[in-house]
Amino acid sequence: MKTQHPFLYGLLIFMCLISCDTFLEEEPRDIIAPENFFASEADARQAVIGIYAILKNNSIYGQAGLDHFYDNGADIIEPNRVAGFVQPIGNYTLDEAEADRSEQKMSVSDTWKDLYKIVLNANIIIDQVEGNDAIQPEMQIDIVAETTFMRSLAYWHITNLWGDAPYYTEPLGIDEIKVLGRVGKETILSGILTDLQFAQDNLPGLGEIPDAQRGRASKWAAAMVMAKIYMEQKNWQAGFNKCLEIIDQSGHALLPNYADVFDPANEYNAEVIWSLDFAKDIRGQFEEGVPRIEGNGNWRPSLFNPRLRDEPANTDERTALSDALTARGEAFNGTGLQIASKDFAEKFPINDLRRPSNILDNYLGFDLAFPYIQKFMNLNLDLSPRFNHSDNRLVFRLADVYLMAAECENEINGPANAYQYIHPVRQRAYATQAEWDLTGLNQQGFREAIYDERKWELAGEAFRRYDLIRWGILLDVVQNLEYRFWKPNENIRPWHVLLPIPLQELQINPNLLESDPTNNGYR
Amino acid sequence: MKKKLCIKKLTSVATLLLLFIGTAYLSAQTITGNVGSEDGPLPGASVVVKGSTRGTVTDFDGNYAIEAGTDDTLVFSYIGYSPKEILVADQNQISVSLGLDNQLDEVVVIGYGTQRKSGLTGSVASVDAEDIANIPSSRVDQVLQGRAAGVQVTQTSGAPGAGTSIRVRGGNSITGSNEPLWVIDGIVVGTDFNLNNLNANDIKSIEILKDASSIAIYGSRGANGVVLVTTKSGSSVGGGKPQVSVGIYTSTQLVPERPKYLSQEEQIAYTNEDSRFRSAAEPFPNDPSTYPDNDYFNLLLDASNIYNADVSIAGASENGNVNYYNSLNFFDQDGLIKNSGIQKYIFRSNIDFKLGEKLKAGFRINYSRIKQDNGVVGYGGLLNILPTQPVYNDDGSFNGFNEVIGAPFANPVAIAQLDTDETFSSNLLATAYLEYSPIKNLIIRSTFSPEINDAKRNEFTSSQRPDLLVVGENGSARISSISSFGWNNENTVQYQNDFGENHSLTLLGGASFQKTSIETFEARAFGIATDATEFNNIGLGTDPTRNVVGSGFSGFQIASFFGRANYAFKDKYLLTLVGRSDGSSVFAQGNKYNFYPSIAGAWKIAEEPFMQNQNLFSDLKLRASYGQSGNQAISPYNTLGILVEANTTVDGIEQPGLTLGRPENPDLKWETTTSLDLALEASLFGGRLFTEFNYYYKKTEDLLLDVTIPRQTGFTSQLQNIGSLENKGWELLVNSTNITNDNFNWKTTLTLSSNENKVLDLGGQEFIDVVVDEVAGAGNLRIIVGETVPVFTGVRYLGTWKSQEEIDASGLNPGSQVVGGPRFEDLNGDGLLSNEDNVVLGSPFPDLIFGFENTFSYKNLDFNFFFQGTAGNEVYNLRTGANYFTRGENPKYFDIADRWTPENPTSNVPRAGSDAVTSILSNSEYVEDGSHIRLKTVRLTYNLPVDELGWSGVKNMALYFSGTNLLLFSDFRLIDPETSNFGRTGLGNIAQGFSSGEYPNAKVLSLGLNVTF
Repeated sequence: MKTQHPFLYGLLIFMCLISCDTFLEEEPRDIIAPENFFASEADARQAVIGIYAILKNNSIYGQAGLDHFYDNGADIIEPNRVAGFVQPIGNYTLDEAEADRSEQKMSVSDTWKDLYKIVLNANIIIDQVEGNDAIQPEMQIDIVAETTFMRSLAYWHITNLWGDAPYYTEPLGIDEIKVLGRVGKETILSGILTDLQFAQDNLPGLGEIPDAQRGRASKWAAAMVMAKIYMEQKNWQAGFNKCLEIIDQSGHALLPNYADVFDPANEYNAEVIWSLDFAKDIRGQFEEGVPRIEGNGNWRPSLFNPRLRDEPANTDERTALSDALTARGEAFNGTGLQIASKDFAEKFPINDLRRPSNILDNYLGFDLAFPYIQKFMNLNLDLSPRFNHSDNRLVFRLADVYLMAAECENEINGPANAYQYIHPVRQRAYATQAEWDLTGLNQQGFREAIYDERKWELAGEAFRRYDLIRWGILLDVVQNLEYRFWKPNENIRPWHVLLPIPLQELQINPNLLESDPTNNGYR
Repeated sequence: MKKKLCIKKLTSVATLLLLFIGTAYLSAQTITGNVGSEDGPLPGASVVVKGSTRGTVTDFDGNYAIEAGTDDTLVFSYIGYSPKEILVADQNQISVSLGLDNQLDEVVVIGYGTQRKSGLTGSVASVDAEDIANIPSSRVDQVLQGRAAGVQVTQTSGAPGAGTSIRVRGGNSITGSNEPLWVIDGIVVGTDFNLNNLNANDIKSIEILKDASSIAIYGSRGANGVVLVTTKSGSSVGGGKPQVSVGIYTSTQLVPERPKYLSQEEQIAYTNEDSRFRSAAEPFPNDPSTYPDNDYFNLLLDASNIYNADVSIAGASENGNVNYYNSLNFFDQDGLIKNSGIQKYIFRSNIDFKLGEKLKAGFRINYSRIKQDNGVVGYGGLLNILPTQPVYNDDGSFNGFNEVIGAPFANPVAIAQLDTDETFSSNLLATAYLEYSPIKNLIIRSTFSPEINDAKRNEFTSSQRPDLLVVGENGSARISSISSFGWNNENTVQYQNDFGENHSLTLLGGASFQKTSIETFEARAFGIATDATEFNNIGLGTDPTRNVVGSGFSGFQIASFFGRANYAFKDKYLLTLVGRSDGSSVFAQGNKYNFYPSIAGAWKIAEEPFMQNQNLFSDLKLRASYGQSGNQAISPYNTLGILVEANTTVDGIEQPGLTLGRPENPDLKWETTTSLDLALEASLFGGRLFTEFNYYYKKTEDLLLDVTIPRQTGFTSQLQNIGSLENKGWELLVNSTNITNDNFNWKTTLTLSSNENKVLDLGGQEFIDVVVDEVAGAGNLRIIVGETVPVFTGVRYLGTWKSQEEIDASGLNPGSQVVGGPRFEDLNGDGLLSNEDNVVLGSPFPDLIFGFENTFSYKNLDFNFFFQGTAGNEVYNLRTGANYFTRGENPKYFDIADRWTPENPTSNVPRAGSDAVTSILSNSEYVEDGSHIRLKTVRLTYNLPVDELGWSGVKNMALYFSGTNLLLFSDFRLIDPETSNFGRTGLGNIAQGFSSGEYPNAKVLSLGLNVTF
């Protein structure tokens, strides 16, 4: 009996050896693995929502990620004081190293990463959903169309910001993606034009998106991007046709009153083609730039809101202003880092009814030291508190399409038939016909009228630098402007029409230098 | 080859042994008895009939039986103990207790057993209860500091109950934990066990296993060293009477020195200057005297107290069949910062039973209940408030708005009064064992050890907080809990025998299984308008859209098989072979198992005949070991791809969303450390001087690194097994009895160690950036081939630009530089300031660490002081960004008063506001010397002459007065360089030596009394 004990022990150990394979199996209970995820339509929809969350990151539409490239360092927006994160483009000190530096997750490298994150996720979704038996065929198309739009939008921004870039549309492994070199911009654009047409054909229209789904992209958002690409390619006819499609078929309409377009209480009005939804208090709607601060992480309106310390112009009246604001349930507690530039404020026509929405230089009777872009401000402490703003991010609206149509028509046939597209935008901008009625312009004159009209109408809506580059006049405009304290007019160089690929990317993926050793002229 | 030889010898030895036993039967009577020592029975002691070849060894209880005649003399011997000779005469029962050969040959605990120090082939550092008696310390890890050579212990924070970071012979891993494995009474509790759960007074000894041979028995988990903690038992209390010990002490913690900042007036001047430079409005247009001058440091820090009481009862039955040790500890500490503190109740019961001739069993049970006030105000935050910030408004209410930034102000005075953050935790750590000896020399032991841990944290943010009132926000509350259950089952078979006079063999084989699972839960509610219920009724939250609820699960299993052979020839030549095969659930199929072998040998030179005619060395031993150990370095599920939550709102309503959080990574495998250890131990002048010198070399391969990958993948990094690093160094231990006589004794202990660490390979990359702060970005901590891991990096700060000509000549973009602004070195001269201009600025790990202790005793008085410190390490001061370079909204160091101004154009302190022009990169100004010397403890003990006083019931009584952290020699700006902003886990694995003004280590004065009845 006694001698059996060691034997029993041996047996026990032996048995354990046999069963160890099961003993050592992992049981993941609180994580979701991609392989077994896309098992229903609901699963796939969640993955699509995930892409919206990326779009709202600070690096893209959330804060100033895209605004850096699309609006700063031009003739509309400037900070009210020296600010590090605006400086690279605002003052054209940008270089490869600066592009690497991540500040509040909205620097060049963050934008690069997040746009490709959309591509990565989109490719996985499309791969998993197409031909997936668990999802109804028409729903498959619906999901793939929305995902394809997101991927195309990401690539559109990528070509705008960097020109040639890595381009792939299959679910590649990380090891394959990380060695991709740059592909010609035209190749990418022609690829995404096909994709966008598919998206437009299969995405819902204005009336087909239920109220509870507002904030999702419609087929007209896809058409909008297509029209912009055609215009950039100077394919004016295709651009014109696309604009007319939107104007005639979308059901979107211009609001009679300019200011109403930006009413925070009516963010999904008829003029708005696409607006990204943000809600107060709800954390984790996107990857927050400064995670430790209370609120929902949405700072963007704070960038446009004034800071009490800078105001009013007469500092002795600060307490009075503060009290007046408090009485209205408001506060000047923004940062004032994205406000109207000196030049823009000085030149905005006084008789233009859009001026108060774009230039706020007096509030509650107090003269302000700086001009603010009122249409993006929200001072309400209750509905839109500091760093916890509920305000949506406006992406596309119909007035832009009218001006695009006017521009296309002028480029194809000259101004004669183009007035009909610029006038609806101007009519609501002035009190009398004498003011809004444009006549007798030649093609160049009309072109220049469009330059101005887009500036007044679409100020701060993240198109300006893109437009100036597209027209080939960025350098000319910037060099001839006076700025508040920086010297972008002296610092700007021809290569600033694109961003550099961040230094670290080149260091660990030298293939990125193969097609263009100068890195867009930055080295 | 060697192995085969061994086996051959063994078989011949066994035959011989049988012959001995055979002849012994021919003569007269059987003598039985027990061989023991102060520490209990001595298994494997040799009993020989003098002048004959007859002999035997004791069994695992120290019992023996031998045939001997009345004229025979029995010789009892055991390595390391003085032998005893006893004439048999008419006795048939002879029990002896052997005394130690010399005081140094103590029994030390090793993995799965004990060994006499003289019989060790590996490197083991020991700390005895005696060494740490009368040191008022609530945590075992704290007392290790400076006491074990090669072991660097860093107090990461002075907050009550805060842990330490421990490095045994340097760090072996970059991503994984570098903390040693803790084993408490044989229970493997991992690297993260909360040591607050242990009562320092229960500890009998702590052993730290350092070299390959001693840690290989812990295989994959031993690479960072193993700390074995053994608690007290009643076996040494003889006579059947219980021994009661009572210890109490009370301490006062004093507020340490405060870092020096600008005065209120100087700060106002700076802040205004900064705003003017930025073309912004001056925040303080009026005379400085019209603004407040508050010292938030003084408002929130106060001297505070510690109370501690211990009671223990220990004893053994007269026949020695049962022994027990029970204790209860109460500890109560208030922190220096208001609202921080810890309260602990710890109960321990250790019982051993002898159930029969062949069966033993026992328990070790430790239960603790801890209440921790986590503190709602951070020390670092206090350093970042301008003196002009009012505490109260004019109407007497708390101020909650920072006018300078134009943002709500989290008023620490209000928060300390209103908010709550506390953790209640309870821990049960137990083991039950059964030991069975079916035949002589064979011991089978099985243990089952459960650990149950429950912690609940309550956090409450008051609706009355002024910063919330300002924005019209209500209060919030969060309740979170972690419960874990784990078990550990160890089964070993040990065979021990001596074969003749010359051969001694111990064989150990075993299997071990462990399973741990952790569940987490949290709930947070917002919009709590009343303070009446705090966190106790979070259903009162009025804003359900913001509710946060979450839960999680994590678990792992480990299965291991191991074996060890110890062989000694003539007690002079020692050989140890160890192997362990470990399997872990965290790796994917095919990578689950790994095998870790080791070999060690020792030569006890002093036992050689040629050493017998000298008096200098009483002991001299040379030993060497070589082997492998591992580190699993990754967390559960790390090989699996995961989708992570990416919810977002649609039409104002949150909707579930997911994105790919991590691609799958099935190739991940163990990190393996191969190490070599060479050591010389010498005992001189009859044991008055003991020295031990170790040299070691360790190489870790298949390092798990979070490797930067191109962001075009949508990710910034990926975990990969690439790269290798080495650690080499030496350790010296000197124990000296300088003076010893009847009235006066003076003893000195010195530990000195040096570790040099170098990155050998990073999978082809030259360096890897470790991002320690997402907001600040990469660039200050780097792992570079050929350098220490990690190193602080940055550009060199060259002072200020003195003229526009200098700027123009530099080739840097003139738009980003300004006269009087900071000048950084464009090392490669490419006109860009980038990470390509980075240089190595220092390393958090010292070149040298030391401990130096002196004990003087005169009659009944003992006086002891202990210095400890480091040399050659650097600290990365995270405050320097805000407090030296940037933004007028932040307080500035006192030396910024001498900054560059047009009137002071030679200053090398940058002008106010210049950070708005020049990006402040990680630079040399951030890095400071971390070398320091600390008078860790001073202690005066008076042992009352209880016999002379006629207190017959009292065995001994000691009254002591001690001081901790009384002196600190350091030049660090934030005073105490021994801090770690990132703690000891996660990012803290690698990002050591960062300081942002951590909770300071208090100066502690204590008065205590220990009585034993």
